[in-house]
Amino acid sequence: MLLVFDRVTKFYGPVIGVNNISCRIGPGITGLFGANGAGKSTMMKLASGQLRPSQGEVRVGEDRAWSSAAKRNLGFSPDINSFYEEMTGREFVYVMARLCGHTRRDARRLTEIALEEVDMVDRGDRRIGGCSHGMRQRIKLAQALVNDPPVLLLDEPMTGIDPGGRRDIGRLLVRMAERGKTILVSSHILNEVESLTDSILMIAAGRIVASGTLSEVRNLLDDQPFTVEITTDRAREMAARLIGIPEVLSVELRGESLIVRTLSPGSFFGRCADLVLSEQFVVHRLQTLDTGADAVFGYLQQGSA
Amino acid sequence: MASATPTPAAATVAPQFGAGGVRLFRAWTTLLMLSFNRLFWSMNTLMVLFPLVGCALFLVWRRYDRWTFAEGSFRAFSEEFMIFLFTSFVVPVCALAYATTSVGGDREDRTLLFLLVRPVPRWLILLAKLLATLPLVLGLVLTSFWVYCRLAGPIGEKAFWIYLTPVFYMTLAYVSLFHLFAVTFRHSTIVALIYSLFMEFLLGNMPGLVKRIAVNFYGRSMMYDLGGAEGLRSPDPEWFVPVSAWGAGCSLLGISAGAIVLTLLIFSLREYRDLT
Amino acid sequence: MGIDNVRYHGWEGELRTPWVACAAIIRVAMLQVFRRKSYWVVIGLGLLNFLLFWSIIYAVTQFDIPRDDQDKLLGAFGFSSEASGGQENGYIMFMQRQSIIVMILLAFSGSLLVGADFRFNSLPFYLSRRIDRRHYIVGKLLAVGTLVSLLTTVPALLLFLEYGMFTSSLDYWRDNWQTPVAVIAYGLVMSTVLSVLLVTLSAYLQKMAPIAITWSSLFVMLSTMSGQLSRRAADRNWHLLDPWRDIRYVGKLCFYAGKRLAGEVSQGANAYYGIFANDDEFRRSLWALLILVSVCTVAIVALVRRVRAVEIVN
Repeated sequence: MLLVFDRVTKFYGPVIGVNNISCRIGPGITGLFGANGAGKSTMMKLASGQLRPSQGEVRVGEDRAWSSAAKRNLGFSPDINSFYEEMTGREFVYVMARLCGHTRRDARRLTEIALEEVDMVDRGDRRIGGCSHGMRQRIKLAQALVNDPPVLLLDEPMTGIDPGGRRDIGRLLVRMAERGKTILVSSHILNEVESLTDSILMIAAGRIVASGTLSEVRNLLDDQPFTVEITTDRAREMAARLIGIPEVLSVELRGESLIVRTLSPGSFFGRCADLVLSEQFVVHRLQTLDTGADAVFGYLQQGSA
Repeated sequence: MASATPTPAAATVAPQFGAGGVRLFRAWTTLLMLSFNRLFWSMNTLMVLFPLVGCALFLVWRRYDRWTFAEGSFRAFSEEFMIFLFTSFVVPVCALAYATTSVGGDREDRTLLFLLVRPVPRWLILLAKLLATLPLVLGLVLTSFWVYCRLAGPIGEKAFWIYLTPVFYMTLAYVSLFHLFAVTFRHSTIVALIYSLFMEFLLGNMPGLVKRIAVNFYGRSMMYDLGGAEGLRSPDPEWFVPVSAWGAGCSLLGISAGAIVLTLLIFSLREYRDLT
Repeated sequence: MGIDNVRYHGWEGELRTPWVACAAIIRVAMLQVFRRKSYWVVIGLGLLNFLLFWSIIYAVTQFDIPRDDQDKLLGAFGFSSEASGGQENGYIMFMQRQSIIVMILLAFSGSLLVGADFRFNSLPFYLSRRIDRRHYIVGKLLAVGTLVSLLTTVPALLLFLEYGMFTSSLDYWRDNWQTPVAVIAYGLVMSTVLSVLLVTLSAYLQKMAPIAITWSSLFVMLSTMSGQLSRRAADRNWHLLDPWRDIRYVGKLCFYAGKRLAGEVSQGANAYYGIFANDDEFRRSLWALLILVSVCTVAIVALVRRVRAVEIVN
């Protein structure tokens, strides 16, 4: 089933949440990737029918996302930590199954299946109020899965879960995807999305700035400068040698550190390693300064402007 | 148009549901029961017992002390208890306790989101909330009213049947109105408190037609009219200018119906951006 | 990696006493309150009463109103037509008339300023600083007290200023210098009692609806009941059931003490300078003081236990 954003714009008063977004998200896992405030949550809210677009249309299959018919095909795990705290995890998931219209027997069966999927069968009878953050995340995921919906919207599903749990949930999502479900996972951690899927949507300032596989997105960044900080014992001398490398755009001297900007990080690191070995520089530290999501979005945003 | 590259599709496993209407009914009744249980087993029930027990003690004291209602009049019971304590305070507070929290509590706790993403139309969600609240508030108000009338002795027993209709209508009106506040305002409890304890008092005691905005005015008018045969009189007919019991009853029903329709409409159309 | 490598340095200056943190708690509380439109509506409603009293004072000082009408007008608002004295009840009445609005404002504030700290587990944010639960409690009490003062004491003082400014000499202020002192004392009593009760209730009930129900029952229902009981039983001691009345009685004690401090002599029928109607009322005020002190003591013990419990659990 397709999740379709057709020229969608959403205004919050004078503020624009998402700006003329169009995309079709098909079966499989799609990572929605963006910095805080980029518009990820707005997209999730639009897709889950909590918000109506100011312009354009969001459809789940053939139905508008706002309609109750669309919600029959939708499972949503929100990025909030609120539950009916007095219930147990099992009760909560059961009630959510009942709210989808299942009979008591079916709801019980589906609840157990969903809890098993998220590895909460043994811990399902704990009061939610007393559950750890990771357990609450799993319960949230279970309530989204309980209906076995063709479209799953997961807003930051890995937050608060330990590495083992992340691996389990990753496997679960891959299994779901293999069963033909359309899964949209939002995150602001690239590694998290990278481990799940190759297909990503990057959003910045309310616009989709890149989409496709990760390698396609990385290619978009090729013409952007890359900054590296090197701390060495002979900084001035190294700076003089580095400036001779063709890939280096600029070198800035900051005490014992050098801030180097390059356009081709791959070949730069090779040449830099050769230089260090040949000239016997002692490198105390070498770190890249702008490989984080924010820097990537910054570049993409500049590119889209 | 940006397009995410899909992974290879597998066959979609369709959820197994019953027929559309039956499925919706099952979901709706679940929501109704869920809302009722959450309201009933809430701290509000415990807290609302405080004024209810307070009123009962007040009546017991009055009945068995030397200045009892027994020798007093129907009018004293009506004015001092029914009008100035029960319908002006107990009824709005009971309505406020549940009607503002049935939707407002879910908004405050941000659990409303889990209901809004289920395949139940919004207006049915609200209807379930309303129908879960109404029997709870009516049950609480009418049961306590019956108990109070028993505690007040023969005068109370007579008053029960006379005032049952106005109390019922007023409760209905307050519950509907407070639901409207709940879907409209974020801090609906306080809006309801301002309305019932300040605005109603202010408006209800103003000269002219202004007081006709207040629910309490119609309730009092009904009570003055229905209790007239037993000697109850409005304080100053020139100033208060009550309407007839029939007119007041219709107005209260009209307020209730209007508020419910508006509530359903607002809830169906409104985006609740504060939920996530 | 050493701590220097992440460029972290501890605070090297001199820290002031943790009691200074109370000011920060008040400031944050005020910001929380005043950024919400709903509060401005409540405060606006509270201003209605202030404007009414302001207009009355303006009318009787500026317009040529016949003496009888002036007496009636001022009498209805507790003031005496003698500007040089007998004004106390006017200020007492003004502060008393703010009761409903103060009650609503506090029902609202309780869940926001205190209840939320417990509900959303934000109390450890306070207690993980250099402050402990004493500073937290005092900070919150002062925050609520400030809100109460903004609606009662401050406007009452403004009315006092207004009364003096609309007369042609400084006599009003000179003759009634003890009045603002008594207003402040009354305001302190009101702020203390209300803040202690509200912070305790909110710490236990946390959500807005139960706080609103309990708070309105305390201040509206008990008030109505006590009024009826005292009228019917012809026993004014029933008024002691009403917390607002109790606060007012203690407020009257403040005004009485002010008169005594000013060295004024009261004689004969006016043994209490017109502040207390008779010995009974004076005695009731002492009882009210005892009741308020007892209730506040119990509330503070309950509050300390509640805050301590959270500290341990978290």
